[in-house]
This record gives sequence, structure tokens and C-alpha cells, in this order.
Amino acid sequence: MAFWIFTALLMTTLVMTVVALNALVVNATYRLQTAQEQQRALIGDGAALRIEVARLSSPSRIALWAADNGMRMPASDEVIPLRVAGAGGGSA
Amino acid sequence: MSPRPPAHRLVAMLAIMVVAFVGIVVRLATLQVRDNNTLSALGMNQRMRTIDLPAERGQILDRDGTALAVTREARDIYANPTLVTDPLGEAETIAEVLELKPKDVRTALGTEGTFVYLKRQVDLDVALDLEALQLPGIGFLEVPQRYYPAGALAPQVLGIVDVDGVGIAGLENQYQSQLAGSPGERTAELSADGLPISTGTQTIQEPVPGTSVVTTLDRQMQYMAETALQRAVERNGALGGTVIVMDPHTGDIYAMATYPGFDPNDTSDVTQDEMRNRTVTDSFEPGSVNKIITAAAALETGAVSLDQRFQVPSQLQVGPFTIEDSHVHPIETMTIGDIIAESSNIGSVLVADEVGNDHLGDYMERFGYGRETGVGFPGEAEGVLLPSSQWDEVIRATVSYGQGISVTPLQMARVYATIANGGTRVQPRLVRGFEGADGTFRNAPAPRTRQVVRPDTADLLTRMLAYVVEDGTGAEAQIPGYQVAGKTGTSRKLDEYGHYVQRYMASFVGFLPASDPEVVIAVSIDEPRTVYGGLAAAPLFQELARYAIQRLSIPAAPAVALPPHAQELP
Repeated sequence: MAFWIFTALLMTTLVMTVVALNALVVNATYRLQTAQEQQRALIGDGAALRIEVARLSSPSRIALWAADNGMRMPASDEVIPLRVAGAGGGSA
Repeated sequence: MSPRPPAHRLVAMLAIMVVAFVGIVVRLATLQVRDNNTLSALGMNQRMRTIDLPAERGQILDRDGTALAVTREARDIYANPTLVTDPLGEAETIAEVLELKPKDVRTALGTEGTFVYLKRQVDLDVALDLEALQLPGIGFLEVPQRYYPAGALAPQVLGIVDVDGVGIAGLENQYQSQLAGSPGERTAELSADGLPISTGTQTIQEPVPGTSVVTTLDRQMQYMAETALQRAVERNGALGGTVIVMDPHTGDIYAMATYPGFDPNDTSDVTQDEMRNRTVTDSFEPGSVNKIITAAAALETGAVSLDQRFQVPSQLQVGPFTIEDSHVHPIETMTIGDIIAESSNIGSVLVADEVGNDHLGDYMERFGYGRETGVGFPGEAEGVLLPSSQWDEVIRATVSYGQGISVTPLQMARVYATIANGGTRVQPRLVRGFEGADGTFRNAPAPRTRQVVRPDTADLLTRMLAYVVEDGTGAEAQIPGYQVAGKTGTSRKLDEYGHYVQRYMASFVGFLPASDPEVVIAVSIDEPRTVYGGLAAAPLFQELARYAIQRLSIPAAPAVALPPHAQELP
């Protein structure tokens, strides 16, 4: 009788161990997949933000915004290049 | 107590059990041993699925690394008509969200079969709006979409991709193999409900992302070139125009603009004409901007000296044709400098007579006429240059002032870049290098160079071009504080039968500062109301040159001496 009880306990312990280890592997795999998905999502978010920066900083958008806010590009004769003495050559 | 069953029954039962057990063992042996490989393979095939992993297409960047073309997520939207429960109602809804015609959607939903595209390359936010409606029979496929964050900036240069993401025009097409990368694949073991088995077999061959192309374009300069060109075209009532801004020493193209343009994010109404990068694909008769090559050949070969005087009438009979200057004038005494400054056709013809066919043709070829510049752009035109061995006196005469040959705006810009670079021709380039997905940068091959004229000849030509702007036809290109060297051009256009008509191409090509050039700008305006290059194109040059001074921080430089004027000679 004692043999059968011992065998049953041993088998139960072994089965429980195998199931528990399997559960740990599944759990770790799940966490790994979740982390990989988060990584992919973050990379995607980063790419989307870089695209947004490129869109927001596009010269046409800024020019439009500036015009809407009462600004304009200076006319040719309104831009006067200044020269610092000693920093460049003479002029025509 | 019941009687014991007869022994033969027990034997029979045992025999049956033994037979059954043997049968099971045999069947097991058959499945597990004999058919092991076949059944394992069948099982694997049933569970394993291979999914293509598309490679992310590389970006196209400006010279500072700002994205000009990127790839983002989008959706292809399809229907399974057999699962659609309310075709009329769904068609109305789908048409409204996707901005399609309801009739077209109804037709699609009424087709036989289980798969039909409703719209491809749909923006993600629009697709998500439709997905939220959970319409029966409507499906969504995750696909990449090419997006141009700066909108209608350099569309003809960047080009476009087709619905499958393959470059079909511009740099997208030229660098398709580098941008595309290599697709990968993922093989995974799936459960009966199609989900990956956590502990199952999984192999991944990662896709190799495409290489990004780093252009030489300056986004701000490109924008300024395009907007200024548009204003100039509208101001002159012209059909269109082109602008090139480049570094004469490296061949880097800062801006390459063609008007009219288009928005590459919406190519539904774009015509083939609008998609052409005319600075590279279209050639035209350059007109007077070409006279500088006649002068280069004359000075380099020693056929004409700087103080040699010519008696220049306003009309000249050459063979059966009468060649005229742009305005009537008495016979004038001119030096070669005067001829270039006043843009005299007759003067150029007289200079070309001194140079001769062989030398003139040779220098046209040296400056790069009649063959591609090698800029690396699909569909680049070579222009037309008849071999000088086939020239007669009429062809020599017309070629000397830029008629009877054709060049692209880029070829013309390169001529002036050669002079600005001390006589050394540099291959223009649109691409600085390539950036891998890991951020490593690889330089594009160094541009080819060739000495076309001696540095001292280039200096003489620069002095003559400065004379054009200070005291000749290019006065509208002057910038206070900076000496500009350049040349005006006005050329008649040909009709479809090859006959000259009263329609003109106005141009101005120049560089600054004259003594230490930092930038070359070539401008052409197609059929302006004010036909002359000095009036239609030079102001646009001046506007862009002023901006280039700010953008590139170009310092002023000492002025070059102007060439001798005939009236000042003893």
C-alpha cells in the first residue's frame, strides 16, 4: 500500500513540475512577444513622429502659417547683406 | 455464488484482446515507423505558415538629413462580396468614407468571387474610420505607403512610386534597387484557430530595410526656387520655367525646380507633362547664353585676342540667309567683350569665322554638349549637336549664337559652372551618398572632372560675364555689394514641323561672386510676354542669388576687372 501511495505522490509531483515548467515557458514566451510588440510599436511611433517633424517643418507649411499671421517674405531690396570689416573681401 | 464461466470463453476473449492489441501495435508501428516521415511532413504543413515580411523602403533625404520621401503604414481595402449583407447601404457608406463614386462601389460589391479591391493605399486614419463601422464582408490589408512630408517640393526630382511601392519616376526610379531592400519571411507553427503556438517552431528571416538616399538638395533653397519661379512665370504670363542652383566646385545641385509642378501625395490628376523634370529631360536651343562657348574657343585657341576689334553691322548675309542683331544699329567697333556684353549675334558670327568649325565644334563637345551630364537621372536628354564636320557656314554662324543646337538646362548650367570652377568641368550630382538602416553613411562616387579650358581663359571669360551684368544686357541681375557674372539668352522656339516661330525661351545663367564663385544659378522662362532673357529671367536670377547669399552665407569678394571696351582702346 505504501508503495502505491509513494508512486502516486511521485507521479503527481513530476506531472506538477512539468506543468509548472511548461507554464513558466509559456508565460515567458508571452512576455517576450509582448515586449517585441511594444518594441515594434515604439519604433513605429518614432518613425511616425519623425514624419510628423518633417511635415511640420516643411517650408511651404511654415510659409503658409507665416502668411496667415501677417508675415511676408522680404522683397529683394529689403535684404541688405552686411559685411564685417576684415571678415571678407572688397565689393564690386 | 455464480458458476465459473467456461474456459473456452476466457480463451476466446483473451484471443480477441491479443488480436486487437496486436492490431493496435501494428497500426502504431505503421504510423510511427513506416509512415513517420510522410505524416510528420503533412502535420508540419498543416501547422506551419510562412508570412512574407516586406522590407521597409529607404527614405529620400535632403542634404541635411531631413526626410523628403518616407514610407508609412496604410491599408488596402477589399470586399468579399459573398459576405456582404446589404450591398446598397454598404456601398453608400463606403463611397462616402473613401470618397468614391457609389456606383463604382456597388459594381464592385456586385462582382462574383470572394475578393475585390475597393481602394488601395488608403490613409491609415481613413481606413480606421471605415474599420470602426465593422461592415460585413469588408477587409483591410496592412500595406506600406510612400509619403512626401514636404508636399509639392521637388516632385519631378523625387519622382513617385506605383501602387506596389516600386519607383516609376525620378530618384525613386533611379535608385529603386537601393531603396527597395530585400523582403524577409516568418515561418510559424499555428494552432487550429490560426494563432501562433507559443512553444511551437518559429523561424524568422528578417527583411533587410532599403538604403536611404541622401540628396544634394537643400530643402529651403528648393522651396525658394520653386516659389520664386512660380511668381516669375505668372508675372511674365509664361507657360512654365526651370531653375537650377548648384555648387560649381562639387557639382552638388542645391535646387532643381520645374514649373508647373504637382503634389506627389496625390497623383490622380497629374499629367505626364507635369511629371517631367525638364531641367534634365527637355532640351532647347540655348540662344545667346551659348555665346560664351564661342568666346571660350576664340580665347583658348588664340584665334581672337581680348583687344581685337571687329566691325559689327546689325545685319549680315550668310549664304542664303540674313542674320540680324536684336536691334538695328550702325556699324559698331566692338571687342569680343563688347560682343558678349551687348549679345551681338553678328559679332558672334564674326568671332566664329575666326575660330573655324573644328575648334568651335571641339569646344562645344568639351563643355559637354551632345551627351548626358551623368547626373544620374532617368530619361536624361543628350541634346543635339551636329558633328562639326557636317557644318557649313550657316550652321557655324547660327551655332555661334546658340541656334541650331539644343541643350538641357542642366548642360547649360554646367557650362557656366565650368567657367566658375576655373575651367574644370565637374559632373553635376543629385545624390551625396547612401545611409544604411543602421545609420552608416556611404559617399556616392566622386564626380568626374575634366579640364575644359585653362584657368586664365576661365578668368577672361568671367571678366566678360561680369561686364554683361555691369554694363550689358544683364543689368537686372545686379546685386549691390556683390559682383555677378552671367549671360542673358533669348532663343526662338521651333514648331512641331521644325520651323522657327515667334515664341521665345528667355534665360539667364550666371554665378557669384565673380572672383570667387560659390553658386551657379540657371534660369529659363518658357514663352514669357517680355521675350528677352535680360527682362524675363535676370530678375528671377537676382532674387534667387540674393537668397543664396543668405542661405549659403556667401561673403563678398574683390571685383574682377572688366575686359577692354572698344571705345576705350587707343
